[in-house]
Amino acid sequence: MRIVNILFTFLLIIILDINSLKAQNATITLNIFGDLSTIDFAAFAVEENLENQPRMLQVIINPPGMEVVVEGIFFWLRDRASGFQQVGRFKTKPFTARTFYNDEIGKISDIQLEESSYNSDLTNEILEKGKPSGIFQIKFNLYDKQGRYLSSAEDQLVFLNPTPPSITSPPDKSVQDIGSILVSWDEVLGATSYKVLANYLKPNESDEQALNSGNLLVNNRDVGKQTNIDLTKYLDRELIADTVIVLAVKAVVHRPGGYEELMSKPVVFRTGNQSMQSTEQKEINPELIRLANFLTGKVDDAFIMKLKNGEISADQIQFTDENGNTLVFSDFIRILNFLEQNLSSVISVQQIGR
Amino acid sequence: MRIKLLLLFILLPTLITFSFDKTFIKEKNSNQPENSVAFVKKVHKEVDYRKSTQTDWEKAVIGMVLYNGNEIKTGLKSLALIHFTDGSGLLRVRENSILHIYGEKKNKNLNKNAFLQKGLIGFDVKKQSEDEEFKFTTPTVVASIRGTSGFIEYTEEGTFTMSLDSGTALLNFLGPQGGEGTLTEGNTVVITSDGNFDFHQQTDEEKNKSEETKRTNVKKLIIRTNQGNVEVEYYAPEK
Repeated sequence: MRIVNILFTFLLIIILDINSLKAQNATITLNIFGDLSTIDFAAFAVEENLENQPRMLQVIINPPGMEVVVEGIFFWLRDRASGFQQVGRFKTKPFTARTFYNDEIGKISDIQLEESSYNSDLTNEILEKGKPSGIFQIKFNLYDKQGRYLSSAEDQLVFLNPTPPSITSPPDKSVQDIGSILVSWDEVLGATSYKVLANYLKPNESDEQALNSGNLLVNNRDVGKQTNIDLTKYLDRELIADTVIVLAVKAVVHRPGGYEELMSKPVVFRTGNQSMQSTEQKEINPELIRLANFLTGKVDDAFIMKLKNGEISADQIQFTDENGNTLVFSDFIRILNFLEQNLSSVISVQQIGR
Repeated sequence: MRIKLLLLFILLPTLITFSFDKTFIKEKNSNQPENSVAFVKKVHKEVDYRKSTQTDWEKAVIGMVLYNGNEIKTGLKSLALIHFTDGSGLLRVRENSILHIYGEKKNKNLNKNAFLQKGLIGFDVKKQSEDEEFKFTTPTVVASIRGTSGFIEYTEEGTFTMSLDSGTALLNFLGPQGGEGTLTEGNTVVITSDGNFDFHQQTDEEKNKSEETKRTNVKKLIIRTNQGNVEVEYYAPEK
């Protein structure tokens, strides 16, 4: 009897170990396929009411036939600065292990959802973009019927649905020192390099016309993967003070069979004088910048800076002639044009205190 | 008797004063029409004159009559407008210039000679009669003109430039090699101190310079701000 007990116990241990080994050997594998360059966000949705989802993910569970539960967690890397953030999570009810696809989850009778949750802020942001961009990390955990962990698999999807870069500096309509013009833009995940283009913007010329002209100030200069540069280091022509410049950045994204250039929204800024100290965020009347440039060296620097940084605004200035007659702004511009073009006609410039 | 004495004391000084004034006026009037060559029509900033090289410089004022041999000198950014009394022409003496005015009456005509010692002059000279002369002289060139406008410049380095917007000028070169030449409308001649000369069509720069010499209207742009005022004075074209 004692021997029978020992044998029973031994067999039980063996059987339990075999089952345990079986469970430990259960694996889950992810296969991602297809061109992900233009995939739709719907691929991530596992809600029952969503139809016509693209098939992009194959989930292989081995061995087939055992009762399992699958948990899926999605993370999104919007940009490197924000890090990975959890977008959503789902967990199935127990089902018989088999190979299935993302478009079957929650819609096929044998794989039903037990629970699901989404970060509404992030999903809204992704939906607003229309197409997912950035890096998605997918983690699938495999559990047995009792909820014991068996295996997991994870993969990253780099979506080449990049949105064009957005120029963060210089600000639109700002005034920049021609000695150094810092240009920076948002990183575009999937971009292999960036190209910078800039040109003088003539009156009555559109941004696009200026950037499509043949003689660019910065002619599609490939700056590699860096996302901030000093524009003055990439000039193809002389940069002139007191001119209006239009600037754009292109992200170069490789596609199957070629590449695509995604151009940012153009930014327009004005070049100031070399002696300027900093860029100014507020909108400054460009005619006052011209006046400041004209007066440079003729009146004290503090007055010049106040004109350039907007401390003295157009509505705080009154222009008069030698008889005390008030001049309208267009008269002032006409005179300024004349003075700029005929410097030798200037007899004197006098600053009279406050 | 008392009344007669009182009248004598009151009237005598008045009569004497009147008599002296009349003498002065007569003398002044007799000088101007007979010997005057030109008068100062406008001055701005530092403009001086002297009667001859033997006298001191004095401040030139508007309306001042210039006689044979008088000189006009302008300072930095200064201007003098000289009008010939016979109405034959206008000289715009620009900054840092020294000009000698000569005039000689022959019959009813006034032969004029403007000697430019240095500086820049814009000129507008009406057509002269056949037996009347208008000359510009510099140390290296004499230019005879008739109905001509443009500018003439003589630098301290001895370079002569004459550029004509209209009319012609007959040039006599005073250098060792001598010679003559004619400068026509729309052209410029540049003669260096060593005698090299270059005739060419007016360049844009020379056209601009000619325009600059015509700007004699002194204007101001006054910029009034809460951080103080700035006053820009400039020469504008005459309207």
